Amino acid sequence: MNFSKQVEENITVITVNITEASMNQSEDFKNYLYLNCTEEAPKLVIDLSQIKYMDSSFIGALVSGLKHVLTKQGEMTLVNIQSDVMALFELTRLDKVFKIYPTVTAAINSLK
Amino acid sequence: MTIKADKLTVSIPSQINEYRLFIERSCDFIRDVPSFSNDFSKLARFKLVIMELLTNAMKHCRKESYLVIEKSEVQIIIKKIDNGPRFSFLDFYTNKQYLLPLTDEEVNKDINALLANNYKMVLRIINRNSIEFLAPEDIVYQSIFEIPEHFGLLIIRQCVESFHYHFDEKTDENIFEVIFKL
Repeated sequence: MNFSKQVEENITVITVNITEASMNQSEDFKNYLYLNCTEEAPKLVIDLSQIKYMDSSFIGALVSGLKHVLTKQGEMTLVNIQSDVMALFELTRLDKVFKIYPTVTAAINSLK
Repeated sequence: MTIKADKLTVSIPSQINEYRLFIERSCDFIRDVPSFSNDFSKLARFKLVIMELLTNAMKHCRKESYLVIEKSEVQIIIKKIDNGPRFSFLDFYTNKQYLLPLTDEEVNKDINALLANNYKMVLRIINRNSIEFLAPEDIVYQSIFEIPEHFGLLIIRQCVESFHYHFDEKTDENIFEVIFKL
C-alpha cells in the first residue's frame, strides 16, 4: 500500500510509503487525505520520511489537503522531510505555510 | 541514451515509473562539475528541475520526448524537447490567449500570464517563437486558499538562473531550456 494510517486518540498519522512522490500518485494521495478528514476538525500528521523525491503535483496534493482540512477547522502537520524534498518546500515558500516537525511525536504533541 | 563528454541525451517515455533512474543518471553526468558536487543546495535544485521536466513531459507529451543536458565551463543547460501541443498562456489582465508563434506586434512585451489556470508568472516575449520566464518577486501568499496546486514552471524558474521556451517551426518541436550558471 502506498499510504497507511494509524489513529492515536483523535489524531490520524498518515505514512506515505513511497520513495518517489509524483503525479503518478498525487491524485490517489489527495483522495486518501480527503477520505481521512470526513469528521469535523480533523487532526492529521503526514509522515514523509520515505520520500526521497517529490514533484509539484504531489506538493499540490498536500496543499489541496491542507485547504480541505482548514475548511473543516482542522489541523495538518508534516514530519520527517528529507533534505532534497525540503528544498522544494523552501523554493515554493511552503515551508512557511505548513507546520513542519522533525518527528511524529513532536507533531502529535503539538496537536494535543 | 546517448552520452558524449559534454552532452547527455535521454529519451523520456510517455509513462515514467521510476524517476530515480533519470535523476541519478543526470547527477552522474554532472558529478565532475565542482560547483554542483560541492553545493548541496545547487544539486537539490538540479534534481528538482530534472523531476519537474520529467513530470512536464508526462503531462503534456503524448509521444516520446527527450532530455538533453549539456555542460561547459560556464554553465549547464538542460533542454526538454517534445512534439506535443505548443505552449500557450493567458494574459491575466486582458484575458487574451497567446499561442506560439506570436505576432511581431507582440514581441518585446512582458505579459503577466495566468498558467495552469491557477498561478501567475511574468513572461517576456523575446521573439515570435521564444519567451523567457522571468524570476518572480518574493513569493508571498496572502491566504492559504490562494496557494496554487499546479506550479511546475514556477518551481523550475525558482531553481535556475534562466528559463526559456522556444518553439521550432521547422521541426514542430517545443524546447524548454533551463540554464544553471557555474
